[in-house]
Formats: sequence, structure tokens, C-alpha cells
Amino acid sequence: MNLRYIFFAALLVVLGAGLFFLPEKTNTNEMAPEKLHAELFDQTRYVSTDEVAERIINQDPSLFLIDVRTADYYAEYSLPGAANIPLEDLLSPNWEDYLTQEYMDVVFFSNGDIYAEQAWMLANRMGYKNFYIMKGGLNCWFETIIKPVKPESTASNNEFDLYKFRNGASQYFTGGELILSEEIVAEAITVTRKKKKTVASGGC
Amino acid sequence: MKDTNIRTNRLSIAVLFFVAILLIGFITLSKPDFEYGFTTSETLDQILSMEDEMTPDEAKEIVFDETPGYKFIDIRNPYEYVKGNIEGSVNIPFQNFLADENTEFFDEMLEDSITLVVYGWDQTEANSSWMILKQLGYSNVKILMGGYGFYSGETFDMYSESEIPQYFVEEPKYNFLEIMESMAGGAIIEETKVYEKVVPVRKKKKSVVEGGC
Repeated sequence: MNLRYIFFAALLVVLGAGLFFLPEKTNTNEMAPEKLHAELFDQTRYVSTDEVAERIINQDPSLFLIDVRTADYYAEYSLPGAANIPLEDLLSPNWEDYLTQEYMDVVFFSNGDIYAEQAWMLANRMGYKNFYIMKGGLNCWFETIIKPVKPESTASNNEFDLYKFRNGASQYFTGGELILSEEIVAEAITVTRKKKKTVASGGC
Repeated sequence: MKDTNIRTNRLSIAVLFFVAILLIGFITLSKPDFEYGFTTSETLDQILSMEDEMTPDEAKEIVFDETPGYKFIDIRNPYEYVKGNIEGSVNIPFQNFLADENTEFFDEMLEDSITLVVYGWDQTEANSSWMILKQLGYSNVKILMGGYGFYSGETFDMYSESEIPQYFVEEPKYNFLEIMESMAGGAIIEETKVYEKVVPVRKKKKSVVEGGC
């Protein structure tokens, strides 16, 4: 009887110790590759420059812009209100609070859209949500918003409306001062009558 | 003696439970279909190293010389592929990347250490394909800069004066700061022309008309 007791006890100890040698399962928060692959099919991850411009102008509080270019580029020019997280620092724990939030739409942008998309893929793989990419990046921003091209005279009304919006946005982003044309002061015209030099003296 | 008996019985039940739980655990342990071959930080290092970006000129050379050890993969849909593609390329649309026959193909290429070069119409289109393959652990994947558009010369802008090759899409195309400074203050003011008043000068009569006839 005692022997059985010892045997069971030894078995439990061995099994319990065996648990220590099970392979460690790594971070399960990561999005599975096939899911990430499926996420990439549709184009909803892209937002257009017009949409971003509109949301900046409307001071949308749920918009959060992240510039993934280097600090030098960021210092030179960036979108108003954008934060700078260079791509090489994306995984650093400093920025985790920025990426883990759930209430804001985070829009990545760079000069083109390659770096922004790479940042998007890494952030999504880590299981964070609400990320978008500004389609075309800053190059496209300057072509469409800052220096919009006037559509052909045969273009549709929609295109002209878009052009109007972009023109307005361009003024908003490049300084926003309204320039009034110089005031034209109309001079009062005073009619001066000629004095008759001589009094009409008598008739004939 | 009775005491030990009870304890032994209890212990045997405990052992049974323990073994049962372990068994259930092993049975329900599902192996995921796909696993990442590189961690996020390894992937980031590979992205930043830029080693996997192939210029259009390099690609042309490889195709022209028929250099062995390279395989081009067109990730666009079959309709676009038929319209024009790189000689000797294989068409694997991005949606079908994880199908069994394709992963087998990728595995085979990795074993034979053949470099895969993915391309789309432009680099952006192929970027996600390259990233997915890379993260899955296929270290032999490269990406074609400029995509097929540049390879075939269709997207090349011959009027561009920029010295940076046009397939470097991440380089700023314009001097952003300069444009912003030049446009600061809103609209462009047109110069107003000032017209000078034309005052006709009358000629003085040289001599007083002297009398009539």
C-alpha cells in the first residue's frame, strides 16, 4: 500500500516537473498571418488627402496624424498637428500609448506611401487597431491640396466642386489670410461753376 | 493503516485528474496554419536595411542576361498580367498567396535558394505582398522598385528635371518648405498697373495773330 502511495506521489512530481519543459508560447496578441493577409485585400486602409484636409480643417478631435519620416524631414515640414514617430522607432515602448488607444483614427503618412504602409502592417500585426494610410503621402498632398490643378473645362461639376474645396484648403494651409483688394476711395466730384466774368450788361 | 488507504485513494484520483487535464490540453492544442518567421523587430530591420529593393535597371539586366537564380512574380490579377508582364515571370495574384500550391511553390524556391522578385504596377502595389512573404520567413524575397510601370517605361516622366531616380517614391518630389514659404500669406497679389496721366501740352503760339484783314 505504501509503495503505491510513493509511486503516485513520484508520478505527480515527475509530471509537474515536466510542465516546466513545455515549449513557451509566445505573445498571442499578434494577428495571425492569414488574417493580416486578408486585411490587405480591401482598400479601406487608405484615406485620401482630401479627406485628411477636410478633417484637419473641421478640427476633428478623433483624427491623429503620425509622420513616420525621419526627424529631419519632420522638422522641415509636416502636416499641422502631426506627431513624429520615425519608422525605425515605431516598436520602441515610448510610443506604445499612442498606438494602443482605441478612440482615435490614426493616419500614418510619409513622403510616398511605402513607409506609411509598412508602419501600418507592423502596427496591425501587433494587434493594435484603427490605423489608416494617407494615400500618396505628402507628395500627393502638395499636388492636390497645396497646389491644386484646375480641371479641364469639360470636367464634371463634381470635379469643379473638388477644385473649389482644394483651393479653399490651400489657402487655409498656406497662411489663411484673406487678402482684400485695395479700397477704392471715390473722390467727391465737386462741380464748380464758372463765374461769369461780366455781368450781362443790357440787351440790344 | 486506514488513514494511508484513504490518502492513497485520494492521490490516485488526483493523478487521474492531472493526466486527464494534460491529455485534454494536448488534444485541443491546435497548430496554427501559418506562423511568422520573423519577429516585428527583425522585420523592421529588414525594411530599414533596404537590401531587398531591386532597381528596374538591375531587373532588366537579369532578364536580358537570363541570370539564373531569379524568379519574377507578378502579383496583379490575371487580366493585367496578360496585358504585359516581365519575361519569364509567374502570375500569383496577391489574394492567392496563402493557397497550398503557392506556399509549396515558395517553399520549393526557398530550398533551391532562388531569389523571388515580386512586382506590381508600382512599388506600392507589391509592397504588402513583399512584407507578407518576408514576415512569413521567406528570406529570399525581393521587391522591384517602380514596378512594371517603370520596367516597361510607361510611367517614366521624361520631362522631369529631378536628379533623384523617379522610382524612389519615398523621396520628396518637391521642396516642401520652399513651396510653403512662397505661398505664405494666401493668394498671389497681382501687380496693379499705374497709368500715368497724359497731360497734353499745347503748343504756344509763336506770334499773336495780328489783326484781320
